[in-house]
Amino acid sequence: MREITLGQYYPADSVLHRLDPRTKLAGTLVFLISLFIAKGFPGYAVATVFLAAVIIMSKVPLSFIVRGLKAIVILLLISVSFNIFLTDGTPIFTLGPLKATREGLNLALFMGVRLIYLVIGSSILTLTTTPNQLTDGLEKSLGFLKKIGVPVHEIAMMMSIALRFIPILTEETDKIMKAQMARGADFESGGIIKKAKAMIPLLVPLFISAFRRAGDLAMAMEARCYHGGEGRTKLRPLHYERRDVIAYIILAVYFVLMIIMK
Amino acid sequence: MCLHLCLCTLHESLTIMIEAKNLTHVYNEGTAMESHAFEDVSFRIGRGEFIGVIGHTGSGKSTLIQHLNGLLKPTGGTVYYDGEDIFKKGYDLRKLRSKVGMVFQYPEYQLFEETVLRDVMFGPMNMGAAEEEAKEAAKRALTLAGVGEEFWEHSPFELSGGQKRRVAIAGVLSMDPEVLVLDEPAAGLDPAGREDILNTVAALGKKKNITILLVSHSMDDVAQYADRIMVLSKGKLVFFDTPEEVFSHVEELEEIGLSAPQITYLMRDLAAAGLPVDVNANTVEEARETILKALGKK
Ligand SMILES: Nc1ncnc2c1ncn2[C@@H]1O[C@H](COP(=O)(O)OP(=O)(O)OP(=O)(O)O)[C@@H](O)[C@H]1O
Ligand SMILES: [Mg+2]
Repeated sequence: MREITLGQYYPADSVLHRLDPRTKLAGTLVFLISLFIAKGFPGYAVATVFLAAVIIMSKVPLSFIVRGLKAIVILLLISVSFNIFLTDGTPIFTLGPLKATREGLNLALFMGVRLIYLVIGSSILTLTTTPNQLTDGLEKSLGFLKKIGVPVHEIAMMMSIALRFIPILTEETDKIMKAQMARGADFESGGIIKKAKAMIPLLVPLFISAFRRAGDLAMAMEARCYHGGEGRTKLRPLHYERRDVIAYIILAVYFVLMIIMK
Repeated sequence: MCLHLCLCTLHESLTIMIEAKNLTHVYNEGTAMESHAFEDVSFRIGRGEFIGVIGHTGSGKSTLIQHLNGLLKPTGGTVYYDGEDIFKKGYDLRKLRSKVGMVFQYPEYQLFEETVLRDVMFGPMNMGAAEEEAKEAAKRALTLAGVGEEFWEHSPFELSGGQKRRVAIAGVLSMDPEVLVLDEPAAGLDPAGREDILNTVAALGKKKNITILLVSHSMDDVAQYADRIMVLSKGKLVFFDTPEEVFSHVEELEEIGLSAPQITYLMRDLAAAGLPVDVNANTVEEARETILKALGKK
């Protein structure tokens, strides 16, 4: 359970941590788009350099970033093998009825790299930005949607609560798991059915506690007169600093470079 | 200094049940969230002893006790149970967990079954007992823990906090453990409930010669029940000795954010005021004795 890095903040003192969340959101978006623009090797080379620089600047240990990839290993394997075997072109070798092609291999390679970069790119955002900053940034960036009736504040609030609860619930899961293991529960061995059954002593208390927490939170928010986003001010309003301007310039340069490289 | 104290105060006649050697635990080793829960802790606990574990919030008590049944793996050192290294390859940890019963902080949140009886049967069933056998064990445990028969077929979620706590304790007792580790079993209960639970536990220990480790924030409780007291501070074992010995170090205890039992302070004040009382009395009973004696009423 502790392996979930997606959506988890890694505290460190780096330029990336200090950037305005809006800058980081924009940066992530630009990076993701650039990955889809890039077709050939040069584009990916630039993206790799950019990503490496960002990782180094973030001061988050590489092992921590890579851990987020565990979640997509299966997806990665499936998409890569589909690409290798299901693309038409010059065959390299055959595996029974399956035929691997050079074009497929090429495609699979880029596909895999793109998928990995996508995940790393977005985990860097969440690793260097606290959930609160992240939703503040989202709320502000998407504020224009309010005009067409999208409840931006409410959505942002729900997101921040959901994100805030991930570590609490993982901790809770850990605790309940240990308590049941102390009573001899076995969460590891056995087939699928046995494993699913073994989850009951974990899930029932977990759900009960999640509902209890949700109830408590709602009560606490109401007790402090929370009434939605209308007229609500911020304790720490977001301000762009000089470093944000520089970051935007670097981003623009990167993006132009990627377009040229394509 | 401490290691010295710990080893020499263990009663010669007791067989050693649990031994910790240079136990160290670091959470999230190698990341920015790295936190040293405790370092280089060694001690021995004999069969049938009642051990009190005290320490300031965050001193590593909960982390330490979770090593005793192998729920947490140490980052250094090891634990011996009955002379066997529990972290060596192939050691049957599940069996160990039936022998070293552990009641966590706020154990009522782990209840999950439809009825109280079924919930208490969970442990024995996991240990491979047959349905009937488990039922018998559960009934015995519920009686021991003081849960009345009228509640056995209730849903555990309909009970009060204190009753849930008892059911949770019964859930561990039903496995017939040789060692019972309780992490603040009385936290959040009313005074009567507190005393009731602690008395039940202490009586159990005596009756079945169970070794008990009680983590508590109440100096008065540990003074009253414990044979020896383990004092943790910032991840170090600073004292492990009899209540008299530990509570004679009032100043050191206060320095690490703890205190002595209220009775100890009273005795000290009385002695300072000239009444010839025994300043090592730290339970109400002992205090009563020595005050009466000092007043010449006995
Ligand atoms: N799951 C965890 N991950 C990281 N650090 C932890 C974890 N659990 C505890 N710690 C840290 O280890 C240290 C010891 O915690 P522990 O829970 O053992 O203290 P405690 O003595 O039981 O405190 P309390 O009296 O409040 O229950 C604390 O500094 C805590 O922050
Ligand atoms: Mg604790």
